[in-house]
Amino acid sequence: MSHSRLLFLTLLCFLKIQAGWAQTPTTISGQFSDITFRDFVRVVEAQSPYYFYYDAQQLDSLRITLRADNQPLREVLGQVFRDTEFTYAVDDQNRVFITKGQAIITRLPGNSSTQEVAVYEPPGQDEQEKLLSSAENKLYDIGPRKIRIAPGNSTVSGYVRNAVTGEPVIGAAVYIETPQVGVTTDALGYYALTIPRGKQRLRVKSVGMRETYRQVMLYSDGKLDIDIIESVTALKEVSVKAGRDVNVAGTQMGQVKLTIATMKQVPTALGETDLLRTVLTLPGIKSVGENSVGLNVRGGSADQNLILLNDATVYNPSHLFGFFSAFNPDILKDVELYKSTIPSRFGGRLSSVLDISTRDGNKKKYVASGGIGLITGRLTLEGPIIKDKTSFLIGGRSTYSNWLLKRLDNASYNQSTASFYDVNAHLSHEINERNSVYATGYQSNDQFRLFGDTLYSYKNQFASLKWKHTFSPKLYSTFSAAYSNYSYALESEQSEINSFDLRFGVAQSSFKAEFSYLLHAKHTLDFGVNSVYYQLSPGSFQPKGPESLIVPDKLEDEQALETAVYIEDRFEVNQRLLITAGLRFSMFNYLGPKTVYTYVPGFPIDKLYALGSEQYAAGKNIKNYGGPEYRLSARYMLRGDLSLKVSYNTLRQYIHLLSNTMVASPTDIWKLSDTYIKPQTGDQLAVGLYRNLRGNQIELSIEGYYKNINNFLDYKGGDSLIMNHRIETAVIATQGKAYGVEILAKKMTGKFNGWVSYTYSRSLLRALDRSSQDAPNDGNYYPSNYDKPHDFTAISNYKFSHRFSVSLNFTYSTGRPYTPPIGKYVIDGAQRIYYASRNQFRIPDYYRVDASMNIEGNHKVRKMAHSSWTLAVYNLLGRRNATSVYFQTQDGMINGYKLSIFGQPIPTITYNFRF
Amino acid sequence: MIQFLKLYGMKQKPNLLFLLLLLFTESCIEPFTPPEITGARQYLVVDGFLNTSPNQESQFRLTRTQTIAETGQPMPESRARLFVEGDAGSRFTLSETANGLYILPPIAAKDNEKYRIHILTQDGNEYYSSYEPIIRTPAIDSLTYEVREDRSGVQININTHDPRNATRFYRWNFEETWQYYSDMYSPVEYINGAVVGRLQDISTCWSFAKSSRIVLGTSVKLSQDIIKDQPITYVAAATGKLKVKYSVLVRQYGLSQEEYEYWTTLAKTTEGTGTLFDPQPSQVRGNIMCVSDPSALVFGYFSASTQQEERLFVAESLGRYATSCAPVDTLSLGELAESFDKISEEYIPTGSTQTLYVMAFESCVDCRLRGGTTVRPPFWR
Repeated sequence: MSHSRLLFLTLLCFLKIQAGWAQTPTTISGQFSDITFRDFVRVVEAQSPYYFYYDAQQLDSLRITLRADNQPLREVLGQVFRDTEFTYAVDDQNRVFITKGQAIITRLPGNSSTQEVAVYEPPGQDEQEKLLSSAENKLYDIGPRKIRIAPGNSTVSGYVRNAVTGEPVIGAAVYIETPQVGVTTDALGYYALTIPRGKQRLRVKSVGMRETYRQVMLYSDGKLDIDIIESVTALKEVSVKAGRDVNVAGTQMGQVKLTIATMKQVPTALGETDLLRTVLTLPGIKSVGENSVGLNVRGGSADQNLILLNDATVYNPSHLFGFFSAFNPDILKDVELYKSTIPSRFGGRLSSVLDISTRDGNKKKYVASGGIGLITGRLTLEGPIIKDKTSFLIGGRSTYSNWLLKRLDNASYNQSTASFYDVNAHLSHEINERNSVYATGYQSNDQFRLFGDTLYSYKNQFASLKWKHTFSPKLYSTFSAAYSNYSYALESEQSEINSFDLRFGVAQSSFKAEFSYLLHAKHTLDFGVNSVYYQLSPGSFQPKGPESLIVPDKLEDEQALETAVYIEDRFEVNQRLLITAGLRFSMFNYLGPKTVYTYVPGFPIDKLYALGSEQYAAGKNIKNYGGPEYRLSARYMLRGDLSLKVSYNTLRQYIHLLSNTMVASPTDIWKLSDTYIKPQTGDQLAVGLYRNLRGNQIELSIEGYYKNINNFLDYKGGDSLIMNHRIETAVIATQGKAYGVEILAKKMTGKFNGWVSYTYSRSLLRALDRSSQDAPNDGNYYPSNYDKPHDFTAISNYKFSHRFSVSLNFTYSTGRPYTPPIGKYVIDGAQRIYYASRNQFRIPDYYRVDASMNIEGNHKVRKMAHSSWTLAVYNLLGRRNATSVYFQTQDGMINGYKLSIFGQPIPTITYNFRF
Repeated sequence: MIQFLKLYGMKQKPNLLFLLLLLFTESCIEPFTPPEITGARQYLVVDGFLNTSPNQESQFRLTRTQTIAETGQPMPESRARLFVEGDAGSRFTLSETANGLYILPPIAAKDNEKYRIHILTQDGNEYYSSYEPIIRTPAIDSLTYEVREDRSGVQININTHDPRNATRFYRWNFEETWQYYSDMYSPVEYINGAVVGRLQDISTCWSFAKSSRIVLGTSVKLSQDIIKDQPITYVAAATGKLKVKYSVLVRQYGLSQEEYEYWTTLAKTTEGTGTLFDPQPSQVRGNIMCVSDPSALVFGYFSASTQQEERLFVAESLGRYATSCAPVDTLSLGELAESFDKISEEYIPTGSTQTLYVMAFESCVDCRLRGGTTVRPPFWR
């Protein structure tokens, strides 16, 4: 833009407009009925000195119906042009200029203080720079053009995209200021905003992106895609965060969104950005031990979390027994965790949904990025296949621990192996404005061999295909199909006669159809269907090698179908009250072929009372379960920056993880609900207060919850779950209750950012059949393995400059409960050990301080390669936190030991690059 | 097989952790002895049952629990007062015959009366069990054995039935006795400078073992109370128990359902050390309560029943004779005094007049060194 134009616009600020009525007033009279503007002009010019200047073409479709009775021209013209985009100006010589949008200025400035009507409100000083952008200056017509705009609302919808990479911008706020109406973009960058018709300025705001706006002339429902530009200081990894006032304004409770940028600030033990470790720093999320990535969300067990990576279910989210999480940080975009309000579109697990999304590949240019740490290395390639339309993203990660092991000067370690890899591929293609497709594939493999003996391995594979289709600006849909497979194997070749091969597998195929319909400005409907077909191979135990004397054994496969339909309405009752009400109905069919064991009626389900068995043919329904799930949440704005939210959820879960060990282990067994094992059900009531301070910079929240869990499976004392043909006899159904309060203060912007959280929570279980011999703790409530009442976390990050930042984290939690052997005695001639009541004692409290330092190379946008170094010290104070406490019998003596995995400060260094 | 898996699957995992730790980090393992482990109270243990078989006495042994770090035998609980009380008013007093061992002479128990044990310990605490009905254990129909096809061992099975269909739950324990020979025979011994014939045969011994496994069975799934071919124990030929002659005495007890479940749970938790990946244990308690201190635990289950027993002999000569015993030396009479070995054979070489002695290790000729006794048990036949 030239300087002179800028000056002109600035001058406009001070201009006042003088209208023609300063002259001898001339009035207009007449009866006009559906006449053209041309005829109207003819009548007016005939009875007055006015002379009209206009573009006949622009005005040929304007029909005029009105009655004037000695009215001034201004009044008459005001009626004529009401609700249209035309304006008029009248000069000293009674010339009338009809223009579109902006009125002609008929006088030079300077000589009067009595003028009125500032026709054009010029932009403020700070916004003027942004007028540089031509997209911002342009006036977009939305909907078919009309001369007269009927009053009322219309919906403008479209995608917000990153102008450079073409990736959708999620959670960007799209809003107008008067009246205050706004929405945030969804997971596909899609928004639909219902606002008054006419000329509007649509503002788009998103963290890490330059703020922008679009001027629109809204005639009727229509589409507007908005490209926005990143702030230059942000590297590509910094992606878009949720609308800043979502904390207060949304109905969502207990929902946390973490972007990869946030995750990168949290130091980890092994130097690599780790999604699950970061999630564990959030209030209400715990794990049993330091080496476990089993998440316990608000007193739920590890299997009660639905972990989705681009819609595919992840059964084991860890590598190397939990030292790493299974997700390559380079391909991640963000993760959304739902722990109290679970949207109706999700189901099948009781405690939480962890919805992980990968980035789309860069649609404009080829980029390679990666990192080298002490244990692992990773590399990601991405780029366009068809520019602006199709892109790919391929990431791989592996460990060189095998190489390290071979270097160790110890024969038994030399014979050991420990390795893993994971590979991801993601394709995204935009067919046209209404259709886009995405495909994701993932495979990981883990292997350990111990001292040349047992080889453990496990494998995660999944693939998903998603098609997003917009039927109309009001109705859009997502169809996805996914397949996941998780399997593990144990092989032992230590002695030839005992060589075996043990295998377990779980696979699921799922299909989802999800629709979102903007029913009304105040109602948004989400509805859909999803269906999952499970196939489990609960175990096979085979001899390995010709010499092996192992008797082959195989458990029968299991299969089941889970189907659910849901509908949810987001109802904006008024500015203050927002209600989301959803209903999900899920059905579960446990299907043949299967042999179902029977037990003596009236006696406990126990091997002791086994009776016979029944055969079911392939595809035959063995057992059906089903029921409604209610998802209600409401937000009430007490003040502009303070809201109260309440939510009530019920959920059902048909697949169970059976574990009789303290921590989630890769060899735990998944089991479907069957004739004897009922589905787990749960409900949760949560209440919270949310407040944002200092212009949404600081988020404060306090949430309380109370939860009931039914039919949660705990194990019976001393039973084995591996290769158990009658697994129903080895478990005991329990009911649980969990309650707690979570307090969070978060500051995500500015030089100093981070969060502080404190949680008080309890998680208790008791046997459903309280009088059973197997009922732990005499049938009374006992703490679950992950009951840790006090938990405090502080995550802080200080940016000294754009290139140098420091993070310091502090974590404290109560020690986990355990059940020690506390004595021994002799009965019936043999020594017996007795244990304390289940989980009545606790291991020592846990606390840890970590620090890390991030040094970036320079930030020239066009630099060939960007690199950064991360130096971190995990457990800075070197506290010997107990990871586990265990007991071993040695020479007839039982000795207790405390194992600290990270018992000393652990420095790590990682090099990351991108070019 | 499950045991096997535990051995190879479970126990190794902590090692995996150690391995990873050594690899990546510096972990440490420290002894962990919190107060709950070292300072556990010493609770009362009641081991015994009311034997209502005619002319049989009942035995109750009272001991105290030990903390897991203690060694040695459990401390007996002496000078306690024990009573067996019926819910219809009968009351019998037990007397302590040895340290912690209390005996009740045969009683005439009434079938329709329920009994409990009442204990007053020296520290002033008072204990009661719940009232238990008398279970009339049916007689053992037969005790049989079956030789494995490959002659690798013998399976001992039991058969019983209750014509009243009332017992339903059973427990068995057993005592094994087996006869065996030393690998080499020693007819003579060296005493005070002379070689004389042995006064006592040390080549034939009998060894004993008590069952440590809890054997349980039930007929609830059957329309009649019949136990058929219930496995009691498997004796592998490799144990050496079957080479000569083997005998097992099986005792049968009828149980209530509660007691049956108690023994089942106890059986499951007899072994187990809580490593990180091990199955977690559960607490097993009986039907005895401390009324003066409800927080005090009591271990043991009081029951009242008749006892049935049956003995079985197995003479199948199973098991291979594989021995490392061989003559180790040949000595003259003069050299015998300095040898610790025993004479297995004496002979006179051709053309010589001097007797030479073929020597063998003592462990090869004296069967007592392998745990048995040379005293023939009175029931042996």
